[in-house]
Amino acid sequence: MTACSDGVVARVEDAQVTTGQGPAHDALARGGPVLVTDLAGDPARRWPALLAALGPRARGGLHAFPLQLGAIRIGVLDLHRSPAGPWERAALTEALTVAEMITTTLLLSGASHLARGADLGGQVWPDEDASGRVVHQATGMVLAQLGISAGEAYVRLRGHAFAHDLSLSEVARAVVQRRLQLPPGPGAQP
Amino acid sequence: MTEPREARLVEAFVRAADTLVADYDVVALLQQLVEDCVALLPVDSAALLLGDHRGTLRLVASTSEDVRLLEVFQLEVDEGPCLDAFTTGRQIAVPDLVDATSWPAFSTRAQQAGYRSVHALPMRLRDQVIGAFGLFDTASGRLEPADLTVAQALADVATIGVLHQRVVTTSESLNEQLQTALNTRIIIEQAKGVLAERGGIDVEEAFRRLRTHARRHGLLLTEVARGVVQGTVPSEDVLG
Repeated sequence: MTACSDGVVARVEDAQVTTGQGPAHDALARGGPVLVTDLAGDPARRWPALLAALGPRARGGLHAFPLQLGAIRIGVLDLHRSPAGPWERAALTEALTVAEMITTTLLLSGASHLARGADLGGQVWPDEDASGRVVHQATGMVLAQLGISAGEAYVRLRGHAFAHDLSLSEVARAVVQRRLQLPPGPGAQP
Repeated sequence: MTEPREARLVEAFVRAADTLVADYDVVALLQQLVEDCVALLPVDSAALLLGDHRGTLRLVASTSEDVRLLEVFQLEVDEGPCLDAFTTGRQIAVPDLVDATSWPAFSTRAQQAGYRSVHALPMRLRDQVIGAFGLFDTASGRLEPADLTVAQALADVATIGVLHQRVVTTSESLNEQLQTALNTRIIIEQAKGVLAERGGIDVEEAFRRLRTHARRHGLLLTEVARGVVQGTVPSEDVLG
C-alpha cells in the first residue's frame, strides 16, 4: 500500500516496486534511513535496474526513512526532492520526527479502542518518556506473554497507559518488574 | 602503563580491528568496548550514549543492567558530564562528585548509587560529536593522562564502529549509520524482553544468552535479536 503526493514521486515509487530495488528497499532491509542526495549520481552502481527503469526521470534527491520501532517494521517514507541538493540538518531532523509520528499513527490507528473517542492526534507527538529501553523490553515481554506481534504488544502497552492514565514508562517498568501482566483480549478495558 | 595492561590493550584493539574489517554488529562492538573500558581502566562502570536526531542522548551500551545504575546513566540525558562532553566536544573530568556544583540532580543520584567520580569523553569525528562515553568509579580521583588517552582511543574506535568507515565522506552516511545504530539498540531491547519472559530470567541474563548464541553460531547479534522478536529464531534455541 502506498500513498504519493504527486506524479513525480509516484513514478519513482512505481519503479522501486517494479524493479524491487532502491533506497526504500535498502532502508527497510538495513533498518535505517538511506539518504540519496542525487539519484542521477553515484547510486547508478547501487541500483542499476532502478536507474534504468527511471531513465531520464532519475533526477533529484530521494531520502527513504523506514517506519520502524526496533523490529517493528511497517513501511517506509520516501521524500523526493527536486532539484537534487544536500539537506539541511533541520530538514533531516524534521523528516525523522515525521517518520516517527507516522509510525506511531499507523500503529495506533490499528487499535480501535484507542481511536474511539480519544484524541489520537495528541498521542502521536514524539515523547521522550516513550522511548526508554524499559518500554522496548516490556514490548518483548508482552509479545511473549500474549503470543502477539511486537507491534500489537507495543500498542497494548500504550493502550493500558492511556486507559489507566499512567505514563508509558510506568506501565513498562511495572511489566518488566513483573508487577503487571497485561490481560489477553482486545486491549485495555477501563 | 605496566606491561600486562599494555598487552591487554593491544588485545582489545586487535579484537576491535578484527571486528571492524569483517561483517560486524555495531551494538555487539559497542558492548565489547564498554567492557574493555572497565577491564583496562581503574573504573567500575562504563556507559556509551549516542545522540539522536533531536540531539537527545540515548544509552546504547552499558556494563551493567542494574536499574539504579541505569537511572544514573539515564539522568545523563538531561544533565550531567556526558551531556556536557556531547555538547562541547570536550573531555569532562569530575574527580569528586561531592565537590561538583554543576548537575545537582545527576550528582545526587550518582552518589546514591555509590559513585564518587565520573569521566566523560566525547565521541567525535572531525567537527561533529555523535555521542559520549561515561566512566564511573566508586572511588574519588582523577584518571591519569595515560588512562585518559586509552579511554579516548576506545571512544574513537567506538565512533569509527558506529560510522562504519574510517572516513565518512558525507553527513548523509553519518546520519544513516547513527539512525541504524539507534534502531538496532531497540531491536536488542525487544529481544531481551522476549527471552526474559520465555526463559524466566532477567534481562541481563537474556542479553548474555543472546550474545553467546550469536558468537557460537557466527551470527550477527542484531540478526539473532530481530529473529527472536519476529519469531523466526526460536527462543528455545537462544536460551539453550
